[in-house]
Amino acid sequence: MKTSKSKEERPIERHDNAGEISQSRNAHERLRHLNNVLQALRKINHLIIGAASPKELISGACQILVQTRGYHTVWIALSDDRGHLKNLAGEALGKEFAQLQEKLEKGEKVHCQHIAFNNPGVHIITDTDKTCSKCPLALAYYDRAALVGRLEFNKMRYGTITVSTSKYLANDEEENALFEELTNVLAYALYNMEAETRRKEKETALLEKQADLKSKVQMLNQVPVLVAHHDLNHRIVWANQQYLKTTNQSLEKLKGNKCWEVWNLSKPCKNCPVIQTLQSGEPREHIMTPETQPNWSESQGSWLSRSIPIKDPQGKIIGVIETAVDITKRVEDEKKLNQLYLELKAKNKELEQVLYTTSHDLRSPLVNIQGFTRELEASLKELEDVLKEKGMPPDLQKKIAAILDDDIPESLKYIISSSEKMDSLLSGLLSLSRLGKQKLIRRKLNMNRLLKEVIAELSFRIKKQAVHIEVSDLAPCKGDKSQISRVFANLLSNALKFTPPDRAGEIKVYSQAENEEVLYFIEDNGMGISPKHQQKIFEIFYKLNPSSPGQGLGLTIVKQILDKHGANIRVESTEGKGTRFIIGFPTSGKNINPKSHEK
Amino acid sequence: MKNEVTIVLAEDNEGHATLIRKNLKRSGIRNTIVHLKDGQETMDFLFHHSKTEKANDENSILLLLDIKMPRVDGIEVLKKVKNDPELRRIPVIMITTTDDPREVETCHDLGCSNYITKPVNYEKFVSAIRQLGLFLLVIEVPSID
Repeated sequence: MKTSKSKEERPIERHDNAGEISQSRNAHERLRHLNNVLQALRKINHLIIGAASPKELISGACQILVQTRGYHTVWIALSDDRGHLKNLAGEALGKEFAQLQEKLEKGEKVHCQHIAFNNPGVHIITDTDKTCSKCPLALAYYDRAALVGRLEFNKMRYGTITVSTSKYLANDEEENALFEELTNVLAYALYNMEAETRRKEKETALLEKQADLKSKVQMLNQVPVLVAHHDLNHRIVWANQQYLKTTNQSLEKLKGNKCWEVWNLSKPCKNCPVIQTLQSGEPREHIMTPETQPNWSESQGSWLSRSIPIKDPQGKIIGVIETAVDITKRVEDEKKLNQLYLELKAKNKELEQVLYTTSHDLRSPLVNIQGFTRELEASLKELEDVLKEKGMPPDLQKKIAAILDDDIPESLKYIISSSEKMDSLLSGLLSLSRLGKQKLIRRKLNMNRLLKEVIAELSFRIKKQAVHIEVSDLAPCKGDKSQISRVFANLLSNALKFTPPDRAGEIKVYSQAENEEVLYFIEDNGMGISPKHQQKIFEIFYKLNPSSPGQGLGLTIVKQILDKHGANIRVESTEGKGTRFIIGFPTSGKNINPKSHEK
Repeated sequence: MKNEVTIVLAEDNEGHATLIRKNLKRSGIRNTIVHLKDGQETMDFLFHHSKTEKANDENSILLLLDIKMPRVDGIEVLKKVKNDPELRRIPVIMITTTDDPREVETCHDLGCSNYITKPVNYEKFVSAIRQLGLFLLVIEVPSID
């Protein structure tokens, strides 16, 4: 109220003594102005306590500085180290302020800002009509002076502040000192805010790290694996729940102990991976069983122990993490499996021997059956001749003739055909059992040459049946020459056996080298195999056509030979169109160069 | 075939022996056939024969040897015969129930003259015996001396 009263009185005084009144009014104005700025500074100090962000701080400061009539206009631009605009606030600048904002956002700078950002201290512009003519805010400064300052604390530049004030106050020392104080207060507040942000960020990161670590520890505690952290002296620093549970100890008791002491052993385990990692700095693993550990008891079971070094950023080892998995059951299972394998192997061998002996010994009586049947045939013939010679009553002759010509030959026919069938089966069994006993002599095979030899052996049948055989350049493989020859001989012989009745027979043999295997194809245009038979053709004694010659062993032998070589065979066939056998021969690790053939 | 050649048939199976005898006879081979029932008996006969008949070089032998025999098997007999300086030149025909190529190879390596698989193809068998008989006739070294 006081202020307003004196205001009303002043024009009268000025009328009476214009010069004096003007001076006194200026002094009064100056005081009031300085008071206003001081008041603004106080308010800004309050604002600093509550402001949540730099943006809030500078907007609030601009408002306070204008509302308290400290300055006519204010604007503050915050930027990063390189001067790029981060935040902008202004007060009492009208619509032109938007233009300024647009300019600054483009990365441009106005004159005052440029000077202040690059130079410390307070900068006074009194000839704003000239200096600021290019500034979008030029009109706001037209009859006023501008004070510009850099917001800087601890060598950190945060931005600039520009205020407009009456020209007569522009060079006032106290005015400038207050303005400088204002810039310092704002800069310090910004510095604190930034420091606070950094601290919060650090705190958050730390909390996140802690939470992460906690969840990892939780995870480690839940896994059914023993985990322990050892220091460089091989002493336990930490162990997970599973470790504590298994050793029946608390972490406090475990800490500082050597692991073998925890396990009641007098010395470290043989080939301890932790010791090896401590020495080498490299990860190690070892399977520990009562058999391999001299000082272990049976009840300690078997463990797979792994150790991983912990290193500092310079790569120096600072500890070891050890994990141990109880593999007692696995080891026992493996032992059982191995035992079973050995038993199976022995049984298989026994079976082969039985097969060989029985099929061999069974042939012996068969030789007698066949031989004496032929003797019977011969005797029969002799008998017939004798009966013909001597005169015999016709009715008796007729009776005897029925026996000699029909009954006995019929019986003999069945005995002969059955014993021949049995002989053929036994031969097949014998050759199969022999195959099982035979050792493989693996070497690189020139398949072109091998096929030539196989075809030469079959040439009589090929010519007789007028079958065209086409063999492409074949990739080599590694195998037993005589056995692989047999595979191809059996397959070709099969193809010859089932040539098409209505067209010329054609057989193609070709190969294809893949990454892991060489594929051989034997393709014919024969009768084909119906899908229901395709799976059975490799079975022992299986014959597509029961009356066709052979023992039904050809493909069984093929399959057995290929099995022994680790190779596979499959069949593709369409009835009436043809059949294709595909053999897959493994090449892995055998150094076979598909291009080079054995010389 | 010259009558002096004795055919020694080492065969444990009576039936097989009978069949062989009958077929040889049917094919017109009239030589003396001595049937021995196992390997031991065969060796006893051969080694005794070599000593007692040494003076009489007219008497020569052709050995028909079964492989699978009790006591001493045919392979063993073949080995002994071929390792004996006097008996080694006796022609030996192996007659077996198996056509196992490895067994055939073993016998050939040991020095058998021929190898025939049962059930016997008697035509082939007889022709082999005839050839060997002829061989004995021509060179006249039944070699027991």
